[in-house]
Amino acid sequence: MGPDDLPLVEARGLRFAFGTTEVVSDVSLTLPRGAIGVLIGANGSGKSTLIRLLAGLLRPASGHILLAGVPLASLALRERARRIAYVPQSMATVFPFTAMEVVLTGRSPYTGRFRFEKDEDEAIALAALELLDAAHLAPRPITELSGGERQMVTVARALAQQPDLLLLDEPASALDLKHRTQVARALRRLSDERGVSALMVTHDLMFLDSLADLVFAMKCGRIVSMGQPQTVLVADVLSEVYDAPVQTERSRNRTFIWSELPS
Amino acid sequence: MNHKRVVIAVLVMALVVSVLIGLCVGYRGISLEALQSDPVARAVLLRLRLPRVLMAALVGASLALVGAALQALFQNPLAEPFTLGVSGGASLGASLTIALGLGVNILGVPIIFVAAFAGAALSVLLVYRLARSGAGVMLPGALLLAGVVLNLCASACVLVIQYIADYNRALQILRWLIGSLDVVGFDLLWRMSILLLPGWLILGAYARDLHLLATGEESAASLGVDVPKTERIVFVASSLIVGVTASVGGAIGFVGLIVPHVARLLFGQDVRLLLPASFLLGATFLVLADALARVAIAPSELPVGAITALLGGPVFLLLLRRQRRYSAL
Repeated sequence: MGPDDLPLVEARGLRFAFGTTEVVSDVSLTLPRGAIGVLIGANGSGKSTLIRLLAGLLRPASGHILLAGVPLASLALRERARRIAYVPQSMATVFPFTAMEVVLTGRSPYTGRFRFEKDEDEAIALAALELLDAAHLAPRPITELSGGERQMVTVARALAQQPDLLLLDEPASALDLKHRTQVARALRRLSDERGVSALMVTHDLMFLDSLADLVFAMKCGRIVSMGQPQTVLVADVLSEVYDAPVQTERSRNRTFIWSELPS
Repeated sequence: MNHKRVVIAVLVMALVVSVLIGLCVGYRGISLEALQSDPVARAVLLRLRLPRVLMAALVGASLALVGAALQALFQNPLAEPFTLGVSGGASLGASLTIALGLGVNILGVPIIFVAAFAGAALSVLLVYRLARSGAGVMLPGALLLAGVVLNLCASACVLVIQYIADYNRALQILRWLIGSLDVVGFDLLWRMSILLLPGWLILGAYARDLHLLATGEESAASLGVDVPKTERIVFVASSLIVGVTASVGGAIGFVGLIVPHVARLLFGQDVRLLLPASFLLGATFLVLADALARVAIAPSELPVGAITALLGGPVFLLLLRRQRRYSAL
Protein backbone atom coordinates (compact mmCIF):
# COMPACT_ATOMS: atom_id res chain seq x y z
CA MET A 1 0.00 0.00 0.00
CA GLY A 2 1.48 3.38 -0.99
CA PRO A 3 0.94 6.50 1.04
CA ASP A 4 -1.80 7.59 -1.35
CA ASP A 5 -3.93 4.61 -0.46
CA LEU A 6 -3.73 5.30 3.25
CA PRO A 7 -6.48 7.42 4.79
CA LEU A 8 -5.34 11.01 5.24
CA VAL A 9 -6.30 11.07 8.89
CA GLU A 10 -6.46 8.08 11.14
CA ALA A 11 -7.00 8.63 14.84
CA ARG A 12 -7.16 5.80 17.35
CA GLY A 13 -8.22 5.88 20.96
CA LEU A 14 -7.74 9.60 21.55
CA ARG A 15 -8.18 10.85 25.09
CA PHE A 16 -7.75 14.34 26.42
CA ALA A 17 -8.57 15.99 29.72
CA PHE A 18 -8.51 19.57 30.97
CA GLY A 19 -7.43 18.99 34.55
CA THR A 20 -9.54 16.09 35.77
CA THR A 21 -12.41 16.59 33.32
CA GLU A 22 -12.07 14.29 30.37
CA VAL A 23 -13.38 16.11 27.29
CA VAL A 24 -12.35 13.60 24.64
CA SER A 25 -12.83 9.95 25.59
CA ASP A 26 -11.57 7.18 23.41
CA VAL A 27 -12.27 8.76 20.04
CA SER A 28 -11.30 6.98 16.84
CA LEU A 29 -12.00 8.29 13.39
CA THR A 30 -10.83 7.89 9.83
CA LEU A 31 -11.01 10.51 7.12
CA PRO A 32 -10.19 9.37 3.58
CA ARG A 33 -8.16 11.60 1.28
CA GLY A 34 -10.37 14.20 -0.41
CA ALA A 35 -13.31 13.58 1.90
CA ILE A 36 -15.20 16.32 3.71
CA GLY A 37 -16.17 15.37 7.24
CA VAL A 38 -18.46 17.31 9.49
CA LEU A 39 -18.39 17.13 13.24
CA ILE A 40 -21.67 17.84 15.02
CA GLY A 41 -22.65 17.76 18.66
CA ALA A 42 -23.96 19.79 21.55
CA ASN A 43 -21.95 22.59 23.15
CA GLY A 44 -19.18 21.21 25.29
CA SER A 45 -19.27 17.77 23.67
CA GLY A 46 -15.55 17.97 22.85
CA LYS A 47 -15.69 18.93 19.16
CA SER A 48 -13.27 21.85 19.37
CA THR A 49 -10.86 19.89 21.51
CA LEU A 50 -10.93 17.02 19.03
CA ILE A 51 -10.21 19.42 16.17
CA ARG A 52 -7.30 20.92 18.08
CA LEU A 53 -5.93 17.48 18.85
CA LEU A 54 -6.03 16.63 15.15
CA ALA A 55 -4.36 19.98 14.35
CA GLY A 56 -1.56 19.10 16.74
CA LEU A 57 -2.30 22.14 18.91
CA LEU A 58 -3.05 19.88 21.86
CA ARG A 59 -1.35 16.62 22.69
CA PRO A 60 -3.59 13.63 23.40
CA ALA A 61 -3.11 12.03 26.82
CA SER A 62 -3.28 8.70 25.02
CA GLY A 63 -4.03 7.38 21.56
CA HIS A 64 -2.36 8.30 18.32
CA ILE A 65 -2.98 10.29 15.17
CA LEU A 66 -1.58 9.31 11.78
CA LEU A 67 -1.42 11.74 8.88
CA ALA A 68 -1.14 9.67 5.69
CA GLY A 69 0.39 6.93 7.80
CA VAL A 70 2.92 9.15 9.57
CA PRO A 71 2.53 9.96 13.28
CA LEU A 72 1.42 13.59 13.57
CA ALA A 73 3.70 14.18 16.55
CA SER A 74 6.75 13.22 14.50
CA LEU A 75 6.20 15.94 11.91
CA ALA A 76 8.30 19.11 12.16
CA LEU A 77 6.08 22.07 13.03
CA ARG A 78 6.60 23.84 9.72
CA GLU A 79 6.02 20.64 7.76
CA ARG A 80 2.81 20.14 9.74
CA ALA A 81 1.77 23.72 8.91
CA ARG A 82 2.20 22.99 5.20
CA ARG A 83 -0.11 20.00 5.43
CA ILE A 84 -2.70 20.99 8.01
CA ALA A 85 -4.46 24.35 8.23
CA TYR A 86 -6.55 25.21 11.24
CA VAL A 87 -9.33 27.77 11.35
CA PRO A 88 -10.11 28.83 14.93
CA GLN A 89 -13.59 29.70 16.13
CA SER A 90 -12.73 33.35 16.32
CA MET A 91 -9.66 35.34 15.65
CA ALA A 92 -9.05 38.15 18.08
CA THR A 93 -6.14 40.37 17.10
CA VAL A 94 -5.46 43.61 18.87
CA PHE A 95 -3.22 44.91 16.13
CA PRO A 96 -4.85 46.37 13.02
CA PHE A 97 -3.18 44.06 10.50
CA THR A 98 -4.74 44.36 7.08
CA ALA A 99 -6.77 41.36 5.94
CA MET A 100 -4.14 40.78 3.25
CA GLU A 101 -1.36 40.66 5.85
CA VAL A 102 -3.32 38.08 7.82
CA VAL A 103 -3.96 35.93 4.76
CA LEU A 104 -0.29 36.22 3.84
CA THR A 105 0.70 34.69 7.20
CA GLY A 106 -0.74 31.53 5.68
CA ARG A 107 2.29 31.53 3.39
CA SER A 108 4.79 31.64 6.26
CA PRO A 109 5.28 27.84 6.37
CA TYR A 110 6.78 28.26 2.89
CA THR A 111 8.78 31.43 3.59
CA GLY A 112 12.32 31.50 4.98
CA ARG A 113 13.08 32.90 8.43
CA PHE A 114 14.63 36.10 7.12
CA ARG A 115 12.42 36.57 4.07
CA PHE A 116 9.25 38.39 3.21
CA GLU A 117 6.58 36.81 1.04
CA LYS A 118 7.16 36.97 -2.70
CA ASP A 119 4.77 38.26 -5.37
CA GLU A 120 3.80 34.66 -5.97
CA ASP A 121 2.67 34.37 -2.35
CA GLU A 122 0.62 37.52 -2.70
CA ALA A 123 -1.04 36.07 -5.77
CA ILE A 124 -1.92 32.91 -3.83
CA ALA A 125 -3.29 34.95 -0.93
CA LEU A 126 -5.39 37.07 -3.26
CA ALA A 127 -6.70 33.97 -5.04
CA ALA A 128 -7.74 32.54 -1.67
CA LEU A 129 -9.69 35.70 -0.87
CA GLU A 130 -11.23 35.69 -4.35
CA LEU A 131 -12.36 32.10 -3.99
CA LEU A 132 -14.42 33.26 -1.02
CA ASP A 133 -15.53 36.41 -2.84
CA ALA A 134 -13.73 38.46 -0.19
CA ALA A 135 -10.99 40.17 -2.20
CA HIS A 136 -12.50 43.56 -1.40
CA LEU A 137 -11.50 43.04 2.25
CA ALA A 138 -7.78 42.81 1.43
CA PRO A 139 -6.71 46.36 2.35
CA ARG A 140 -9.02 46.71 5.38
CA PRO A 141 -7.72 46.50 8.95
CA ILE A 142 -8.84 43.26 10.53
CA THR A 143 -9.86 45.10 13.71
CA GLU A 144 -12.50 47.00 11.76
CA LEU A 145 -14.07 43.98 10.12
CA SER A 146 -17.28 42.37 11.34
CA GLY A 147 -17.13 38.93 12.96
CA GLY A 148 -18.31 37.28 9.75
CA GLU A 149 -15.80 39.14 7.58
CA ARG A 150 -13.04 38.13 9.97
CA GLN A 151 -14.09 34.51 9.62
CA MET A 152 -13.80 34.81 5.85
CA VAL A 153 -10.27 36.17 6.26
CA THR A 154 -9.32 33.31 8.58
CA VAL A 155 -10.66 30.75 6.14
CA ALA A 156 -8.76 32.49 3.33
CA ARG A 157 -5.57 32.27 5.36
CA ALA A 158 -6.11 28.54 5.77
CA LEU A 159 -6.65 28.18 2.00
CA ALA A 160 -3.44 30.16 1.35
CA GLN A 161 -1.59 27.53 3.37
CA GLN A 162 -2.43 25.08 0.55
CA PRO A 163 -2.80 22.19 2.99
CA ASP A 164 -3.86 18.59 2.45
CA LEU A 165 -6.18 18.86 5.40
CA LEU A 166 -8.36 21.75 6.55
CA LEU A 167 -9.59 21.68 10.12
CA LEU A 168 -12.29 24.25 10.69
CA ASP A 169 -13.87 25.09 14.02
CA GLU A 170 -17.26 26.64 13.28
CA PRO A 171 -15.88 28.68 10.40
CA ALA A 172 -19.29 29.90 9.36
CA SER A 173 -20.99 30.62 12.68
CA ALA A 174 -21.12 34.38 12.04
CA LEU A 175 -21.63 34.22 8.29
CA ASP A 176 -24.80 35.06 6.42
CA LEU A 177 -26.40 32.58 4.07
CA LYS A 178 -24.56 33.82 1.00
CA HIS A 179 -21.15 33.54 2.61
CA ARG A 180 -21.91 30.20 4.22
CA THR A 181 -22.70 28.92 0.77
CA GLN A 182 -19.46 30.41 -0.46
CA VAL A 183 -17.36 28.70 2.20
CA ALA A 184 -19.15 25.40 1.63
CA ARG A 185 -18.67 25.71 -2.12
CA ALA A 186 -14.99 26.56 -1.73
CA LEU A 187 -14.46 23.46 0.43
CA ARG A 188 -16.32 21.26 -2.03
CA ARG A 189 -14.28 22.63 -4.92
CA LEU A 190 -10.94 22.12 -3.17
CA SER A 191 -11.93 18.60 -2.30
CA ASP A 192 -13.15 17.73 -5.81
CA GLU A 193 -10.38 19.46 -7.76
CA ARG A 194 -7.34 19.11 -5.55
CA GLY A 195 -8.17 16.23 -3.25
CA VAL A 196 -8.03 18.40 -0.15
CA SER A 197 -9.74 16.90 2.89
CA ALA A 198 -11.60 18.88 5.49
CA LEU A 199 -13.09 18.29 8.89
CA MET A 200 -15.44 21.00 10.02
CA VAL A 201 -17.24 21.62 13.29
CA THR A 202 -20.66 23.11 12.78
CA HIS A 203 -24.06 23.62 14.38
CA ASP A 204 -25.48 24.38 10.98
CA LEU A 205 -27.15 21.21 9.72
CA MET A 206 -28.45 22.85 6.57
CA PHE A 207 -25.61 22.10 4.17
CA LEU A 208 -24.66 18.68 5.39
CA ASP A 209 -26.37 16.65 2.66
CA SER A 210 -24.71 18.52 -0.15
CA LEU A 211 -21.41 19.27 1.56
CA ALA A 212 -20.44 16.35 3.75
CA ASP A 213 -19.16 12.95 2.72
CA LEU A 214 -19.10 11.87 6.34
CA VAL A 215 -20.79 13.11 9.47
CA PHE A 216 -19.42 12.45 12.95
CA ALA A 217 -21.76 13.09 15.88
CA MET A 218 -20.19 13.65 19.27
CA LYS A 219 -21.70 13.48 22.71
CA CYS A 220 -19.84 13.83 26.01
CA GLY A 221 -16.43 13.39 24.42
CA ARG A 222 -17.34 10.32 22.38
CA ILE A 223 -18.33 9.80 18.79
CA VAL A 224 -21.76 8.24 19.08
CA SER A 225 -22.57 7.97 15.42
CA MET A 226 -20.71 8.29 12.17
CA GLY A 227 -21.38 7.67 8.51
CA GLN A 228 -22.94 9.22 5.47
CA PRO A 229 -25.22 12.19 6.14
CA GLN A 230 -28.45 10.28 5.62
CA THR A 231 -27.47 7.64 8.18
CA VAL A 232 -26.47 10.09 10.93
CA LEU A 233 -29.06 12.78 10.29
CA VAL A 234 -31.98 10.79 11.65
CA ALA A 235 -34.31 11.82 14.44
CA ASP A 236 -33.12 9.21 16.95
CA VAL A 237 -29.44 10.08 16.63
CA LEU A 238 -29.92 13.86 16.58
CA SER A 239 -32.33 13.80 19.52
CA GLU A 240 -29.78 11.89 21.53
CA VAL A 241 -26.83 14.03 20.43
CA TYR A 242 -28.49 17.35 21.17
CA ASP A 243 -30.62 16.04 24.04
CA ALA A 244 -33.61 17.79 22.50
CA PRO A 245 -36.62 16.66 20.52
CA VAL A 246 -35.51 16.73 16.87
CA GLN A 247 -37.60 15.72 13.89
CA THR A 248 -36.32 14.83 10.46
CA GLU A 249 -37.86 14.12 7.13
CA ARG A 250 -36.29 12.93 3.89
CA SER A 251 -37.55 14.59 0.80
CA ARG A 252 -36.05 15.30 -2.62
CA ASN A 253 -32.89 13.48 -1.48
CA ARG A 254 -32.37 15.97 1.34
CA THR A 255 -32.87 15.64 5.06
CA PHE A 256 -35.02 18.35 6.63
CA ILE A 257 -34.41 18.90 10.29
CA TRP A 258 -36.46 20.85 12.78
CA SER A 259 -37.22 20.91 16.44
CA GLU A 260 -40.57 21.31 18.18
CA LEU A 261 -40.87 23.05 21.50
CA PRO A 262 -42.43 20.60 23.99
CA SER A 263 -45.98 21.81 24.61
CA MET B 1 10.52 44.46 -0.94
CA ASN B 2 11.62 47.90 -2.01
CA HIS B 3 9.40 49.90 0.27
CA LYS B 4 10.98 48.18 3.30
CA ARG B 5 14.49 49.02 2.17
CA VAL B 6 13.49 52.67 1.76
CA VAL B 7 12.05 52.77 5.26
CA ILE B 8 15.23 51.35 6.77
CA ALA B 9 17.45 53.70 4.73
CA VAL B 10 15.45 56.76 5.80
CA LEU B 11 15.64 55.66 9.43
CA VAL B 12 19.39 55.15 9.25
CA MET B 13 19.75 58.68 7.88
CA ALA B 14 17.52 60.05 10.64
CA LEU B 15 19.74 58.33 13.19
CA VAL B 16 22.89 59.81 11.66
CA VAL B 17 21.36 63.30 11.73
CA SER B 18 20.26 62.90 15.34
CA VAL B 19 23.75 61.76 16.34
CA LEU B 20 25.20 64.89 14.71
CA ILE B 21 22.68 67.04 16.57
CA GLY B 22 23.53 65.25 19.80
CA LEU B 23 27.22 65.95 19.23
CA CYS B 24 26.65 69.65 18.58
CA VAL B 25 24.29 70.33 21.45
CA GLY B 26 25.58 70.91 24.96
CA TYR B 27 26.82 73.25 27.63
CA ARG B 28 29.81 74.12 25.51
CA GLY B 29 29.24 74.95 21.89
CA ILE B 30 31.73 73.21 19.66
CA SER B 31 32.81 74.74 16.37
CA LEU B 32 34.86 73.10 13.64
CA GLU B 33 37.75 75.55 14.09
CA ALA B 34 37.85 74.90 17.82
CA LEU B 35 38.12 71.17 17.10
CA GLN B 36 41.21 71.72 14.98
CA SER B 37 43.00 74.07 17.38
CA ASP B 38 41.70 73.31 20.85
CA PRO B 39 42.59 69.94 22.46
CA VAL B 40 40.04 70.52 25.24
CA ALA B 41 37.24 70.90 22.75
CA ARG B 42 38.42 67.73 21.05
CA ALA B 43 38.47 65.87 24.34
CA VAL B 44 34.98 67.09 25.23
CA LEU B 45 33.68 65.88 21.89
CA LEU B 46 35.44 62.51 21.75
CA ARG B 47 35.72 61.47 25.40
CA LEU B 48 32.48 62.93 26.76
CA ARG B 49 29.95 63.81 24.14
CA LEU B 50 30.43 61.01 21.63
CA PRO B 51 30.28 58.23 24.26
CA ARG B 52 27.18 59.79 25.74
CA VAL B 53 25.44 60.05 22.39
CA LEU B 54 26.37 56.46 21.60
CA MET B 55 25.10 55.37 24.99
CA ALA B 56 21.77 57.08 24.33
CA ALA B 57 21.61 55.32 20.95
CA LEU B 58 22.40 51.89 22.46
CA VAL B 59 19.87 52.26 25.26
CA GLY B 60 17.14 53.78 23.08
CA ALA B 61 17.53 51.15 20.36
CA SER B 62 17.51 48.34 22.94
CA LEU B 63 14.44 49.48 24.84
CA ALA B 64 12.43 50.16 21.69
CA LEU B 65 13.39 46.78 20.21
CA VAL B 66 12.37 44.96 23.37
CA GLY B 67 9.15 46.96 23.51
CA ALA B 68 8.23 45.98 19.97
CA ALA B 69 9.09 42.33 20.65
CA LEU B 70 7.11 42.15 23.91
CA GLN B 71 4.09 43.83 22.31
CA ALA B 72 4.01 41.15 19.65
CA LEU B 73 4.70 38.32 22.08
CA PHE B 74 1.96 39.37 24.49
CA GLN B 75 -0.34 40.67 21.72
CA ASN B 76 -0.71 43.82 23.73
CA PRO B 77 0.11 47.30 22.40
CA LEU B 78 0.67 48.54 25.95
CA ALA B 79 3.38 46.02 26.78
CA GLU B 80 6.92 47.31 27.22
CA PRO B 81 9.74 46.74 29.73
CA PHE B 82 8.47 49.54 31.95
CA THR B 83 4.73 48.74 32.04
CA LEU B 84 5.36 45.02 32.48
CA GLY B 85 7.52 45.61 35.54
CA VAL B 86 10.60 44.22 33.84
CA SER B 87 12.51 47.46 34.35
CA GLY B 88 11.31 47.46 37.96
CA GLY B 89 12.72 44.00 38.50
CA ALA B 90 16.00 45.05 36.93
CA SER B 91 16.10 48.11 39.21
CA LEU B 92 15.58 45.93 42.25
CA GLY B 93 18.39 43.61 41.23
CA ALA B 94 20.72 46.52 40.58
CA SER B 95 19.79 48.36 43.81
CA LEU B 96 20.53 45.23 45.78
CA THR B 97 24.02 45.07 44.29
CA ILE B 98 24.70 48.72 45.08
CA ALA B 99 23.40 48.36 48.65
CA LEU B 100 25.61 45.34 49.21
CA GLY B 101 28.50 47.47 48.09
CA LEU B 102 29.20 45.56 44.92
CA GLY B 103 29.39 48.99 43.35
CA VAL B 104 28.78 50.55 39.99
CA ASN B 105 32.45 51.03 39.20
CA ILE B 106 33.89 49.44 36.10
CA LEU B 107 34.96 46.30 37.91
CA GLY B 108 31.54 45.97 39.51
CA VAL B 109 29.65 46.43 36.27
CA PRO B 110 29.32 42.78 35.36
CA ILE B 111 27.84 41.98 38.78
CA ILE B 112 25.23 44.67 38.48
CA PHE B 113 24.48 43.44 34.95
CA VAL B 114 23.89 39.95 36.25
CA ALA B 115 21.71 41.13 39.14
CA ALA B 116 19.64 43.37 36.87
CA PHE B 117 19.28 40.58 34.34
CA ALA B 118 18.10 38.19 37.06
CA GLY B 119 15.63 40.80 38.33
CA ALA B 120 14.31 41.42 34.83
CA ALA B 121 14.01 37.72 34.03
CA LEU B 122 12.19 37.02 37.26
CA SER B 123 9.65 39.81 36.62
CA VAL B 124 8.91 38.77 33.08
CA LEU B 125 8.29 35.20 34.23
CA LEU B 126 6.06 36.32 37.09
CA VAL B 127 4.03 38.67 34.90
CA TYR B 128 3.62 35.94 32.32
CA ARG B 129 2.43 33.40 34.88
CA LEU B 130 0.03 35.84 36.49
CA ALA B 131 -1.48 36.92 33.18
CA ARG B 132 -2.39 33.40 32.08
CA SER B 133 -5.87 32.21 32.86
CA GLY B 134 -6.56 28.53 33.53
CA ALA B 135 -7.32 27.79 29.89
CA GLY B 136 -3.96 29.20 28.85
CA VAL B 137 -5.38 32.40 27.43
CA MET B 138 -3.44 35.61 27.87
CA LEU B 139 -5.58 38.27 29.49
CA PRO B 140 -4.47 41.75 28.40
CA GLY B 141 -5.88 43.46 31.48
CA ALA B 142 -4.30 40.97 33.86
CA LEU B 143 -0.98 41.38 32.09
CA LEU B 144 -0.79 45.12 32.71
CA LEU B 145 -2.20 44.78 36.20
CA ALA B 146 0.46 42.24 37.06
CA GLY B 147 3.07 44.61 35.63
CA VAL B 148 1.82 47.50 37.73
CA VAL B 149 1.75 45.43 40.91
CA LEU B 150 5.21 44.09 40.20
CA ASN B 151 6.53 47.60 39.64
CA LEU B 152 5.01 48.74 42.93
CA CYS B 153 6.49 45.79 44.82
CA ALA B 154 9.88 46.30 43.23
CA SER B 155 9.97 50.02 44.01
CA ALA B 156 8.81 49.31 47.57
CA CYS B 157 11.70 46.88 47.97
CA VAL B 158 14.09 49.45 46.50
CA LEU B 159 12.80 52.01 49.04
CA VAL B 160 13.39 49.60 51.90
CA ILE B 161 16.87 48.85 50.59
CA GLN B 162 17.61 52.56 50.28
CA TYR B 163 16.31 53.15 53.79
CA ILE B 164 18.50 50.54 55.44
CA ALA B 165 21.54 51.12 53.24
CA ASP B 166 24.12 53.63 54.47
CA TYR B 167 23.87 57.20 53.32
CA ASN B 168 26.40 57.07 50.51
CA ARG B 169 24.99 53.96 48.97
CA ALA B 170 21.43 55.22 49.32
CA LEU B 171 22.45 58.29 47.38
CA GLN B 172 24.12 56.11 44.78
CA ILE B 173 20.93 54.08 44.38
CA LEU B 174 18.87 57.23 44.05
CA ARG B 175 21.15 58.65 41.38
CA TRP B 176 21.12 55.36 39.59
CA LEU B 177 17.32 55.12 39.70
CA ILE B 178 16.98 58.54 38.14
CA GLY B 179 19.15 57.19 35.41
CA SER B 180 21.80 58.89 33.40
CA LEU B 181 23.44 58.29 30.10
CA ASP B 182 26.58 60.07 31.25
CA VAL B 183 29.63 58.03 30.49
CA VAL B 184 33.32 58.79 30.07
CA GLY B 185 35.26 56.95 27.40
CA PHE B 186 34.29 53.83 25.51
CA ASP B 187 35.10 51.05 27.94
CA LEU B 188 31.59 50.66 29.34
CA LEU B 189 30.09 50.95 25.85
CA TRP B 190 32.15 47.98 24.69
CA ARG B 191 31.17 45.90 27.68
CA MET B 192 27.51 46.66 27.08
CA SER B 193 27.66 45.97 23.37
CA ILE B 194 29.13 42.53 23.92
CA LEU B 195 26.09 41.62 26.01
CA LEU B 196 23.50 43.53 23.99
CA LEU B 197 24.48 42.29 20.57
CA PRO B 198 23.44 38.66 21.13
CA GLY B 199 20.13 39.87 22.56
CA TRP B 200 19.46 42.02 19.51
CA LEU B 201 20.39 39.27 17.09
CA ILE B 202 18.20 36.72 18.84
CA LEU B 203 15.17 39.01 18.74
CA GLY B 204 15.89 39.76 15.08
CA ALA B 205 16.07 36.07 14.30
CA TYR B 206 12.67 35.53 15.91
CA ALA B 207 11.01 38.41 14.04
CA ARG B 208 8.99 36.01 11.89
CA ASP B 209 7.72 34.04 14.85
CA LEU B 210 6.83 37.26 16.67
CA HIS B 211 5.02 38.50 13.56
CA LEU B 212 2.88 35.36 13.56
CA LEU B 213 2.35 35.53 17.32
CA ALA B 214 1.06 39.09 16.96
CA THR B 215 -1.83 37.70 14.89
CA GLY B 216 -2.78 35.35 17.74
CA GLU B 217 -1.17 32.56 19.68
CA GLU B 218 -3.25 29.70 18.31
CA SER B 219 -2.86 31.01 14.77
CA ALA B 220 0.91 31.15 15.23
CA ALA B 221 1.00 27.61 16.61
CA SER B 222 -1.02 26.32 13.66
CA LEU B 223 1.35 28.11 11.28
CA GLY B 224 4.34 26.23 12.61
CA VAL B 225 5.62 28.48 15.41
CA ASP B 226 6.99 26.67 18.44
CA VAL B 227 5.19 29.01 20.84
CA PRO B 228 6.70 27.88 24.18
CA LYS B 229 10.22 27.93 22.74
CA THR B 230 9.73 31.37 21.20
CA GLU B 231 8.39 32.66 24.51
CA ARG B 232 11.38 31.31 26.43
CA ILE B 233 13.91 32.71 24.01
CA VAL B 234 12.28 36.13 23.74
CA PHE B 235 12.02 36.28 27.54
CA VAL B 236 15.71 35.56 28.01
CA ALA B 237 16.85 37.94 25.25
CA SER B 238 14.57 40.73 26.49
CA SER B 239 15.66 40.28 30.10
CA LEU B 240 19.29 40.37 29.05
CA ILE B 241 18.79 43.58 27.10
CA VAL B 242 16.67 45.29 29.76
CA GLY B 243 19.02 44.16 32.52
CA VAL B 244 22.08 45.58 30.79
CA THR B 245 20.49 48.87 29.71
CA ALA B 246 18.75 49.40 33.06
CA SER B 247 21.90 48.73 35.04
CA VAL B 248 23.64 51.50 33.13
CA GLY B 249 20.94 53.99 32.16
CA GLY B 250 18.53 53.42 35.03
CA ALA B 251 14.86 52.74 34.48
CA ILE B 252 14.10 54.89 31.45
CA GLY B 253 10.40 54.43 30.86
CA PHE B 254 8.10 54.52 27.88
CA VAL B 255 10.77 54.46 25.14
CA GLY B 256 9.69 50.87 24.52
CA LEU B 257 6.10 52.04 24.28
CA ILE B 258 6.15 55.24 22.24
CA VAL B 259 8.72 54.23 19.67
CA PRO B 260 7.14 50.96 18.46
CA HIS B 261 3.79 52.71 18.39
CA VAL B 262 5.11 55.54 16.24
CA ALA B 263 6.71 52.91 14.01
CA ARG B 264 3.32 51.18 13.71
CA LEU B 265 1.64 54.42 12.70
CA LEU B 266 4.32 55.13 10.12
CA PHE B 267 5.04 51.70 8.68
CA GLY B 268 2.11 49.39 9.51
CA GLN B 269 1.88 46.24 11.58
CA ASP B 270 4.41 43.86 10.04
CA VAL B 271 6.58 42.89 13.02
CA ARG B 272 9.44 41.86 10.72
CA LEU B 273 9.69 45.51 9.69
CA LEU B 274 8.69 46.92 13.08
CA LEU B 275 11.62 45.35 14.92
CA PRO B 276 14.43 46.98 12.89
CA ALA B 277 12.39 50.17 12.48
CA SER B 278 11.81 50.45 16.24
CA PHE B 279 15.47 49.71 16.86
CA LEU B 280 16.62 52.60 14.65
CA LEU B 281 13.84 54.94 15.69
CA GLY B 282 14.49 54.20 19.37
CA ALA B 283 18.14 55.13 19.00
CA THR B 284 17.18 58.35 17.22
CA PHE B 285 14.52 59.17 19.80
CA LEU B 286 16.71 58.75 22.87
CA VAL B 287 19.64 60.63 21.31
CA LEU B 288 17.32 63.57 20.70
CA ALA B 289 15.62 63.26 24.11
CA ASP B 290 19.04 63.28 25.74
CA ALA B 291 20.10 66.33 23.73
CA LEU B 292 16.93 68.04 24.94
CA ALA B 293 17.68 66.96 28.52
CA ARG B 294 21.09 68.63 28.27
CA VAL B 295 19.87 71.98 26.95
CA ALA B 296 16.39 72.38 28.43
CA ILE B 297 17.54 73.94 31.71
CA ALA B 298 21.21 74.58 30.84
CA PRO B 299 23.69 74.87 32.47
CA SER B 300 22.00 72.21 34.61
CA GLU B 301 20.48 69.15 32.97
CA LEU B 302 17.26 67.14 33.30
CA PRO B 303 17.21 63.37 33.80
CA VAL B 304 16.42 61.88 30.40
CA GLY B 305 13.95 59.50 32.07
CA ALA B 306 11.85 62.52 33.01
CA ILE B 307 11.67 63.61 29.39
CA THR B 308 10.71 60.17 28.08
CA ALA B 309 8.10 59.81 30.83
CA LEU B 310 6.63 63.25 30.11
CA LEU B 311 6.27 62.28 26.45
CA GLY B 312 5.33 58.67 27.12
CA GLY B 313 2.63 59.14 29.76
CA PRO B 314 0.16 60.87 27.42
CA VAL B 315 0.89 58.36 24.63
CA PHE B 316 0.14 55.51 27.03
CA LEU B 317 -3.20 57.05 28.02
CA LEU B 318 -4.09 57.61 24.38
CA LEU B 319 -3.34 53.98 23.57
CA LEU B 320 -5.34 52.82 26.55
CA ARG B 321 -8.36 54.64 25.17
CA ARG B 322 -7.90 53.10 21.77
CA GLN B 323 -7.46 49.63 23.17
CA ARG B 324 -10.74 49.97 25.01
CA ARG B 325 -12.43 50.84 21.77
CA TYR B 326 -10.98 47.75 20.10
CA SER B 327 -11.94 45.35 22.86
CA ALA B 328 -15.48 46.74 22.88
CA LEU B 329 -15.92 45.35 19.37
